[in-house]
Parts: sequence; structure tokens; C-alpha cells
Amino acid sequence: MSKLRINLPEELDKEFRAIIASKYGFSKGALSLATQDAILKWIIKNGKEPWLYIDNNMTIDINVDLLSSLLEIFSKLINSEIITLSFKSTTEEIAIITKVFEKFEIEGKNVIFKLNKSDFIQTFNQLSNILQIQVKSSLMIEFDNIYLIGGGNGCFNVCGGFHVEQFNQVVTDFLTSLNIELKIELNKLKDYQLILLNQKSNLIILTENR
Amino acid sequence: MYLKRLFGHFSNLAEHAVRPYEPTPAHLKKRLLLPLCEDISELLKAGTKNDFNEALTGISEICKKIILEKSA
Repeated sequence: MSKLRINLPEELDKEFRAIIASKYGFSKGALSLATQDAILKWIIKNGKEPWLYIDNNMTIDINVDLLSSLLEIFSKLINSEIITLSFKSTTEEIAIITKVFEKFEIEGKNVIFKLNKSDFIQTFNQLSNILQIQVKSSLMIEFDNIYLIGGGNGCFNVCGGFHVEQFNQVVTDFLTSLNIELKIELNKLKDYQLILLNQKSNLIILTENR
Repeated sequence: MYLKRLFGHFSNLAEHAVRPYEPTPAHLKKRLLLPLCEDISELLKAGTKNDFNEALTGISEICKKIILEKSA
């Protein structure tokens, strides 16, 4: 842990401490926690995209290289034999797909793959290598009534009938696959945000219950 | 298909908007607003009367679920 000594206008200091007291009481370490929180928000707000951000509202912002591992865990834990992968494509991209793949559908500009669970990750990886589908904002992955969609490049939201306990299991298994130790059971937390600023930094767990 | 995407992108925007660690303005624009604008544009170009109705109903449901529940 680093120590930080800063100069603050008295008024700002008073307001800061008053809000900390109302939020956390006069517990030991509350000032440090609130300061860490403020610094972290400032870092993110000023342009640092975390390597990994996951919260209990099922929003996921992860480095795009992690996407395949995350999807593999989703596909293992969701009982869906057919997984639908769709995205918008240009005419040139459709021409490439036609050369490489046999089974797919085209609906306007949309390319749709209806895949068996066993073929899903391999096809996703192939399409990622050939067409960079992992960065496309039109990428949508459907497991029956649960679907993943986002703005591309690892920014995702889980929609449909996915229970938070199932999501927590996905997150736990995903972090385990990355050799990240989660020292807390996610189901015991009402709200949480998990942040890794960089690949090798420590996992920051923020929760209202702390 | 564009309706499902529209709901997904709107839901993503709404979830991001209420989270404690707001994304950067660049992330907000590129990953949340632009995809949603594309969906709306597609709906305007190709949507039927029924699609418009379905779009508004779906968005309204997401608003109720995400925004109203969280402000309660």
C-alpha cells in the first residue's frame, strides 16, 4: 500500500469526512476506502479502460482477448444445445464467409450461425480470426432465452432470463480460469463491481455491503 | 433481428448509465450510443408499423425494469 499526503481546502475536507461518516460510520479505514474509491473513479473517468470490469447488473467490459474464454464458460453453464451467433457483415465479408463455412443463413446484412454447443467456440474463434467479429457492435450471441449483446470490443450486457446466481457462477468460473482468486462469495453480495485495471493488477472488489 | 439488437443495446446503455463507475465519454459514444443509433436508423429504414410499436413497448419495459427499479 502507498501512502498519500495531499493538501485539501478545509471545506472540501469537512464535506468529504461528513459523507464518509454518514455512509460508513466512523469505522477504521473508512477514509482510506473512500479515497481509494474517489481515485479509482477519477482514473476510469479520465480514460483508463479497465482490463476487466464486471458487475452484478450483468454488464461486462473486458479486454477483447478474454472474450472466447468467457463465452466458453457461458456455453458450459447454460443448458442450450443450439447457440445462435449473428452479426452484420459487408458484401466482402459475406463472400469470405461463403468460402470458409458451409452452414449459415443470411438475412439482409445479417449473417446467422446456428451452432451446436460443441462447435460454438471453435466457430467463434475462426470468425474472430478471419473477420474480427469480436469487435463488432452488432455481434449477438443467443442461448435460448438468454442473449449477450454489446457495443463490441468486450463491452457486453446479458439480457433475457438469466438469474443473478447463474451469472455469479459464470463470473466465478471465469475468474478461476484466469487464475484470479475471488476471496468472497458473490451470492452473498447485494451489489458488486469487480475491476482489474491491468492484467497483472489485483482484483478490486467494490460492494455496498463492505 | 434489429429489434432484439435495439433492446440489447438500449439495455446495455441503461445498465451502464446507472452503474457506479461510469464509463469514459469515448466508451459511452462508441460502445453504447453509436450501436443504439444504428439500430434506430435501421428501424426507421425497414421497420413496419408493428415493429415501431414493439420497439417502444420493449424499450418501455426495459425502462421500468432497470431505471425505475433502481431508483426505488
